[in-house]
Amino acid sequence: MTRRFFSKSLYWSDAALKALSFLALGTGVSFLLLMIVFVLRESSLGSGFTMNLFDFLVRDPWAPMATPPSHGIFHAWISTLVITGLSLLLAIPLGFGIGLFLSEVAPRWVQQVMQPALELLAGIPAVVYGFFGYVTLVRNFEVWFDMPAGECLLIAGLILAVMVLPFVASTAAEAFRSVAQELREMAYGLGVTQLYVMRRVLFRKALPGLFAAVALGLARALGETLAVLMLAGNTVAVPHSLLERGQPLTALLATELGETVVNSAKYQALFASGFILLIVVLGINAVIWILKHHFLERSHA
Amino acid sequence: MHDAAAKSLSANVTGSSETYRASLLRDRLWRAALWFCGFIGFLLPVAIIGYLIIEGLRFVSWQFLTDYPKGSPLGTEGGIWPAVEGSLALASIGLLVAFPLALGGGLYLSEYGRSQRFNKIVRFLVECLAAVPSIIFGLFGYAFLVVFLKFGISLIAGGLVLALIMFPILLIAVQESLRSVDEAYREMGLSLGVTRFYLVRRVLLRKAWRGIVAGIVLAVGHAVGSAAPVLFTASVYFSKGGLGLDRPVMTLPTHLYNLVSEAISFDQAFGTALILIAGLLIFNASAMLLRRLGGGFTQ
Amino acid sequence: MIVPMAMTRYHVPEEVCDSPASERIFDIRDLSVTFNGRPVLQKVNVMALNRQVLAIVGPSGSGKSTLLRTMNRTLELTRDARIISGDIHFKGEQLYGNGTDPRIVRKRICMVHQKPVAFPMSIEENVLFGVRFHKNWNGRTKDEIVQSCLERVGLWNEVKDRLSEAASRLSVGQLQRLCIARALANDPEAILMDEPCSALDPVSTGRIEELILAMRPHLPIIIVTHNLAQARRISDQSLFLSDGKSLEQDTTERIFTHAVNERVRDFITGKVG
Repeated sequence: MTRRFFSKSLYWSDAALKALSFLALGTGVSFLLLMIVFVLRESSLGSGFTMNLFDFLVRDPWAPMATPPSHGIFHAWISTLVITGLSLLLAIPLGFGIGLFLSEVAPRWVQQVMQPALELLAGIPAVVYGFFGYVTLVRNFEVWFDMPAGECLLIAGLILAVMVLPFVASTAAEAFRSVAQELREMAYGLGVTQLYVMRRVLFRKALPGLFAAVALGLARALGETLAVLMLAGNTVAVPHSLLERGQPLTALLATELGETVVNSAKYQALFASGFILLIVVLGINAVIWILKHHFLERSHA
Repeated sequence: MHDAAAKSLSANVTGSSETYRASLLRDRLWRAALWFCGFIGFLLPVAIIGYLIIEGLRFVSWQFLTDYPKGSPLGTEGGIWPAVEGSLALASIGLLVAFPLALGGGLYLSEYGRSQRFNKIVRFLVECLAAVPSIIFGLFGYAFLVVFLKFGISLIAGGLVLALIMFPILLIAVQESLRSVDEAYREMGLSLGVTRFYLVRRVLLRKAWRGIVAGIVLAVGHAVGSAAPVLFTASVYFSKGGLGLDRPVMTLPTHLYNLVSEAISFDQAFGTALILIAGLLIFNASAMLLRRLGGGFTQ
Repeated sequence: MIVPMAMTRYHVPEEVCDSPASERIFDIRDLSVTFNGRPVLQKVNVMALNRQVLAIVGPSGSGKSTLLRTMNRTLELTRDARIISGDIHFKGEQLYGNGTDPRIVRKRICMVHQKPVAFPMSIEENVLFGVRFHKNWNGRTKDEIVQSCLERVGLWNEVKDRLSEAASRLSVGQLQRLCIARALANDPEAILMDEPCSALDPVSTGRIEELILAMRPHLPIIIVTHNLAQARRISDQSLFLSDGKSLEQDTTERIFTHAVNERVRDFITGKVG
């Protein structure tokens, strides 16, 4: 019997799988880096960007057909800011309330009904939200506020609030749930009310998770496209009130990209605004990551 | 004795009992407010989905699903078959490309990756990828696939963009379902002298497949519903049907967008929205079922 | 082995039975509790007297903590637990009577848990946590309350210069004493302790035991412990619990030397763990 004890051949399959899986991982992940680089390249922000960044962000209007054409995105990021702010203003208190309700108050069967309901809310495609907002709110706004066309920032913000609500709510619920049960029992053991425990203990303990919930909602709201495209009104004027129309960044990209000459100044401007959006969202994501790990490590300690 | 004691129950709370009663009232109001929040959280999905189903059912028929858009302007009558076909084809291509990559990536992270640091960084990058707004994927797909690689607006370009969107969702699902398999299986298996490959094939995937399939279902559902990434990489306003990798297609979400934004037909839009919602409900229900079963088995 | 009925019957010494009602802090009769339908306590009887330390001992899983948590109505914070029968009287009052507010019960009967946990606030605010809610200032300033409570648990000298620091920075032993101070600030009429020393080192354990003996003249204390030596050191009465049943209660001295119940004897002599 000269059978070798450690046959190398047996481990080939293992080495092959390891190499292949690594390759797969590398391919997938490298596309993220490629995406960042490519969007940056197309925007020429690094080298041949033809505009002053200040003019681009603040001073110039968006007037690609004018002579000379001008491609400022002030109106777009203002609209994005207003819509996002409005949606978070509505979604955060309600989302925290739902989170507290799910983690502290709701009986188990209610939780079991609510959780899938919120998942459904999160799963409805953006375009369907846009359509829903159009047939319910836009038409009624025309009547209620005597507007020629009902689309406005307010409606976009309202629908966007509904869209980010499930993300804020479920992240907040998770944050409240991660507070140690012992802490809760000790606090209640001193004979205080639920409100007192929530106010003085739960909120402080869940704070990093709640920040993560806000950040997640913010990232979602900033990047949402179809719903705001259909509801905000898509005009390049700078909005002055919630009942006016506007054009958030994402809507600007969706509207203009198809009709833009590749590598023109307008094309660069569009990719530059896309790049800015990308960087902002990645930054928010990094914050979420840090918060999540911060409070994971905390709760393990 | 008892009466005196019973009296002391309320009297024994030092400090004024008025403030105590006020704090109880505040507590009760607060709980009512939380119940109200919960009610809203339940009402919103039910109302939105219910509204779309009730309105949509009037316009949906078998014919609506299998017919081509007709009428003038095009889309006011007829059906949405090319859009259904196009959406399914796009999602299939996306899945075909993304799943092997995600399976491999998830396997590497949960079974082979030894360095905690490396795993953490990769997972961070993957989560970044998952958080990127879908319109950015559209931008990238347009610039890289459609223009740079000269794919043109086509099924393949859109499919690859969707693959990119599905990849992180799938990878996280694979990694998490593998990770939720009890560590004891690995120890027991490896102590028998088998390779990791054998262990993965015979034990881990059998334990984790439900979670993985649930991830696939959710990723496909997400891809089918998103319009922004295919808006300028794959979709056209109208197609006669029939698929080709180098030809553009119609998709359900972009069709719905066109019907509404061009104010072509709200009846048709309600029907299309209902098809999307029905797809969502089926996808979510099956994912939930799989996860529940999967959870029961892994414990 | 079949234990004769007479042996399993709960035994309470006569002087406890004959004690006047006013001396009985806790009088628990036939208490049964289920957890998800599974019985955890079955017809448990407890009698705790004023100015005494009662130790509840028994093998793990015998329902000691559950019993303790029925005594200040914190058991109802656990969703699956149900009290299915029995009476609990505290100083002659029905603890679970109609219209009894569980929060007032918890204010009057405080609990010290196994694992000390700091609330996410300063040391000072930790002590004042209950006071700020119940408003039982009784004419004292907050500094007076903080000082007196921390002095009673022997923590004052260690922390008096850093009262506004986060409480989470204390050591486990200090934290457990802070938890006791937090309970004392409520002006409780009894203190329940659930294995308060099991997370602590021997030195901190010694300090807690001293503290218990020092509090005994003013406050009745009921302590759950798995440590027989500890029960012997600090308690006046001991109650043996096994499989959710109360087997025997007697003065600690007598139960450790002349237990009536055979299983109690086996447990004390170490035949069963």
